[in-house]
Amino acid sequence: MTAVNALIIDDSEIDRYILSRQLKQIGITSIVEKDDGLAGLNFLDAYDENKLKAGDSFPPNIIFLDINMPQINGFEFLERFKALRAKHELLSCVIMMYSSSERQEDKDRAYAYEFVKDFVVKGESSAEEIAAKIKNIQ
Amino acid sequence: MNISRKLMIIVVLTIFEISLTLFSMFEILQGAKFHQLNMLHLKYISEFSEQVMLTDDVDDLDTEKLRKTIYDIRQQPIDCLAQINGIEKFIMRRIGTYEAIELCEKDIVDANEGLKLIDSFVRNEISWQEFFVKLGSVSNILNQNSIDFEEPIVKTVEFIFNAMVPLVVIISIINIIFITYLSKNITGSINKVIALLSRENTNEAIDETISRNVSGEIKELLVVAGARLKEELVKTEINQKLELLVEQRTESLTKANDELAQFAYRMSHDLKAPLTSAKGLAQFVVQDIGEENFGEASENSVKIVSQMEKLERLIISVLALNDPEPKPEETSLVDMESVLSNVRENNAELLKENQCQFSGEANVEGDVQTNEKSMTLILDNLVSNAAKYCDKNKDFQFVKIIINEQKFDYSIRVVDNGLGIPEERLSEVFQMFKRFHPNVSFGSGLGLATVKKHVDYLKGSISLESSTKGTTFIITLPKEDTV
Ligand SMILES: Nc1ncnc2c1ncn2[C@@H]1O[C@H](COP(=O)(O)OP(=O)(O)OP(=O)(O)O)[C@@H](O)[C@H]1O
Ligand SMILES: [Mg+2]
Repeated sequence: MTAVNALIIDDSEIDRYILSRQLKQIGITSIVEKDDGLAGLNFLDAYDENKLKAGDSFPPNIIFLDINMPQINGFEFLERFKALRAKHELLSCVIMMYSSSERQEDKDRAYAYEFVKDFVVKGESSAEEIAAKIKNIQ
Repeated sequence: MNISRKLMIIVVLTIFEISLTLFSMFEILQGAKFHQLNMLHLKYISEFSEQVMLTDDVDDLDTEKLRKTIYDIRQQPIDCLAQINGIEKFIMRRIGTYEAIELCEKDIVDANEGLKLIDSFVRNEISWQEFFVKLGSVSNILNQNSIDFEEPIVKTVEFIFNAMVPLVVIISIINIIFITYLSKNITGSINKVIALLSRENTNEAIDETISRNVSGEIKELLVVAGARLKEELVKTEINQKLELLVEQRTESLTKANDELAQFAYRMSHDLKAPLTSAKGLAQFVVQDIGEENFGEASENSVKIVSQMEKLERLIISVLALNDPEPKPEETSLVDMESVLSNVRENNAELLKENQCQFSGEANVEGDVQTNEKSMTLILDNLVSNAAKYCDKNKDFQFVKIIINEQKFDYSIRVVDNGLGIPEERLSEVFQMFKRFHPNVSFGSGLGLATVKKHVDYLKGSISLESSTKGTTFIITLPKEDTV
């Protein structure tokens, strides 16, 4: 596995905690958490600054993205991220949806973006399963 | 005179015109036929005189042939008399051409004379010479009859032609004049009616105008058409109303359906979320206990409890939101002061926690007729929000309820100096599950939806003003007796 830099964007602190603990279990140590789509976008947009600060652990190459968030929700994030990708060197960064939604409608809407590679339903995947999914998309 | 009578006159005139024309044509043809008969008559007469002339010898004389020729000659006046009708006889008498008929009769007598002569000769009563001379004179007489016959016939035909043609022409002209007059008359009446109907700003009702100014069939037509039109109008109106009603119902049903779908989705999501989180945490707790990592295990257990509390609150909110609409008879005279103190009581903990000052004033005369439960629920939610979303950066925090009695309604203002709601989200505040400060305080985003619902139950309205300086909710409730 190439070094994974994970970014978790989710408004639920507990869900962020659960996911990051699962990621740590499978050996991923470079994890950044953001509590809203807006915070996530700001983090990515401050590219040079963060690159300087974090070195190799920036930019993230996998983003775990929640859908229901108060300010900028998952779908709005995807739309804005499309623009950001070209602006910064983010083309190798892929997105894994991380939501409690099981609606096909939501899945279809997310998969409409080429950089959305997988859809993890909260509470349904063990750490090992998440590891397999990550391996799959790299 | 009404239109149908006038039309009847035209019909009669036209029938008269046509029959006169046909009659004249028939008479003229009749004249031609008499001419023809006369020509035939002359032909047989000339045959007869030839037979008489060419006989030099008594032995050559064929009396039978002569007799037959005379029969032939006699046939035309007989035919002629048979074909002449009463009207013709009448006309001929009037115009002095009746001699033609007399000539026919005379011709028959003369022919019979010839036949008698042949009989006498056959019976040898007269001599050959005498017979011959007398035959000659018969032939001459018949010939003269034929010649005389022409003139009265021509005269009669001429008379008919001269009399009938002008008559037909005159009648036709009268007919045309009458038709023109009538059509003008009808157009005139119709134009008058159109003018009457399109005249604006008359004080008189249209029915009266019609009955005063219009008569005959047009009046009848207008009355019947008017009645029919009214009927149709009523029908269309009813149909339109029904259509509108169906449209509105469909729209509200669709809206309700959409809302329900949205609600079901959010419910399943929001009910599931704390459960899923708790499940994940519980797995870690099991793991941590196995690894004797009790510190983290107990931390996560606390989190599980908070998730369960969240779930509990959510379920309570959902139940409140789905409270059935109170029945009108569930209202009572409510003391607003006691409602205010109950609200303060209910939110005491939250207010204290957030150091938020509560104050309330009820400027009303006596008790207010309303539903106490709805009223308390509304104010509870607004006060809890003011406390939860207060601004810690301000010198002090407050929430103030001011109830004022007005002429037709009560106005209730809930004012705070909290964080405010972002302007671009203001249109969403009363929607379910909308939360704008998720990190500031707990909640499920159902409070304001519940408030809106209960304000609707009380037939009131709610609006808000918000900025970073604070938020004011304004509720207007109609007074019971003005509803
Ligand atoms: N007085 C207020 N000042 C600032 N923001 C407010 C105020 N009242 C409501 N809000 C905002 O509107 C959102 C919706 O309020 P609502 O009462 O419907 O939900 P909640 O308070 O989050 O949850 P619940 O009332 O269901 O426990 C809140 O999350 C908050 O962001
Ligand atoms: Mg609330």
